[in-house]
Amino acid sequence: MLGRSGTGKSTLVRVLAGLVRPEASEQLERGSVAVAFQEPRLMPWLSVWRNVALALEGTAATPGERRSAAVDLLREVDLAARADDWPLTLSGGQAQRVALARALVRQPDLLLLDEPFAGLDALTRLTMHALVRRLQTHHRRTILLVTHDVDEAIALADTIVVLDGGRIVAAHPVRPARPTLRDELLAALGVGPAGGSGTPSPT
Amino acid sequence: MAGVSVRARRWASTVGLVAAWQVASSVGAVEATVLPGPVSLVGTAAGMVADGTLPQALAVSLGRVLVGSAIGLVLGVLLGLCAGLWRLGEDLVDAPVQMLRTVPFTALTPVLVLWLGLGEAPKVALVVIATVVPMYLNTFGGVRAVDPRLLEVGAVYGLSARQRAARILLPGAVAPILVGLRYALGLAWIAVIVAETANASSGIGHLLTTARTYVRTDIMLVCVAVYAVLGLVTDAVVRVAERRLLRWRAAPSPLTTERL
Repeated sequence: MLGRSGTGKSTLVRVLAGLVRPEASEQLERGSVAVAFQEPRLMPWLSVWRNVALALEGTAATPGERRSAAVDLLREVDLAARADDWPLTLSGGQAQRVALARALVRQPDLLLLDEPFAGLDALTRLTMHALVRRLQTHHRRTILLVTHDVDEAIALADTIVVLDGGRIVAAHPVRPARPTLRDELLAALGVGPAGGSGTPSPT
Repeated sequence: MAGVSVRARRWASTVGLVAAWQVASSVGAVEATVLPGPVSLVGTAAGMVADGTLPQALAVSLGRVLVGSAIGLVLGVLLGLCAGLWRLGEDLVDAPVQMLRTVPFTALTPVLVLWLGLGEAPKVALVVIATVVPMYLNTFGGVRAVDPRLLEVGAVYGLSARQRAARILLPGAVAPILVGLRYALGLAWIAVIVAETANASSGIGHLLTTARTYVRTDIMLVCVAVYAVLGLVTDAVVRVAERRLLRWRAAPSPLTTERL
């Protein structure tokens, strides 16, 4: 999901996550939902694996099951070695990987990623893209990725929707690949056709 | 001063002051009844330890501080949690505690004697009143200051109210609660001095007032020094608790001590 600032992306995520009730009386039927936010939001006073296991505290899983599920997911994000460390000793990318593990450990029906790579440097972001693709081939969850990076959307998504003023103003399948897709998306975001070699970024 | 260790630098000024004090009293520049020299004070202290008066007084005062602050800490944290976790709790608890906060607790000493008599109760009660306020304020503030974004994580993953309190709110409030603890224990010693100098037949405060009657400046100064040492010891105890409970904090950067 793409959209400029203030077009309702975050509000939609918060409604889907159950953090705010929609104003309209329509009933929203939610399955299990997990969220990875822009910031890792780890509890600094819980060790890395306990942070992941925290997502299972509301379930019937026994402490032993919670721990082994958490360690399994940490292995998938290549952080099994840091399971007993404190979150404040992690780098930004590592902390965000723990947050991804915490979101996936519940095996949610819907995984919401609210600009989870926005705070990371370009190289770490590419590593995270690869990780998300790898996790997706293994877990096969429905993922709603919110971003304002058009290239990130094209790289990761099956379908791209553009949100403006709280409404979907464009929806495009990413495959089969079309050379004009990027310009179409940028146009829907209100960014003019890319002139010259400069890469316009949505504001 | 680059070659001198930090420890040596920290002690240098103190040692210099004590040395100057000793020289002044040795040459007779200050009279012994006004300010005895450090060496003679050490002698007085040794005598008070040997005849048992100091250990006995210390045990009595320490007992009052321990009992009073234990009650004050538990009560303050519980009230702080009530007000911090529930809106109703804040409405019911906050106003009376804030009023108590504006009362200088030392002013309550004579009232407590009237209400509770001359025994242990008024002394312990004064310590409770002195400690409950900082514990309440810091617990309440600490719970309220926990990052709401972390609470959202608890909501997203369906944690119960009890789980959110145990995993997010309480651990998030530990650092301010420990600040309150350090402050409360400092006030506990002040409260016990005040209570014991007002009326007591035992304890270090009683020792102090008796010494005043007989113009024993040396005993009075030993009592003052004992209070200072007790303050340092309680502070060290809280620091140990801090190191244990706040292990998760990243190692402090050099900028926390050196600003330039």
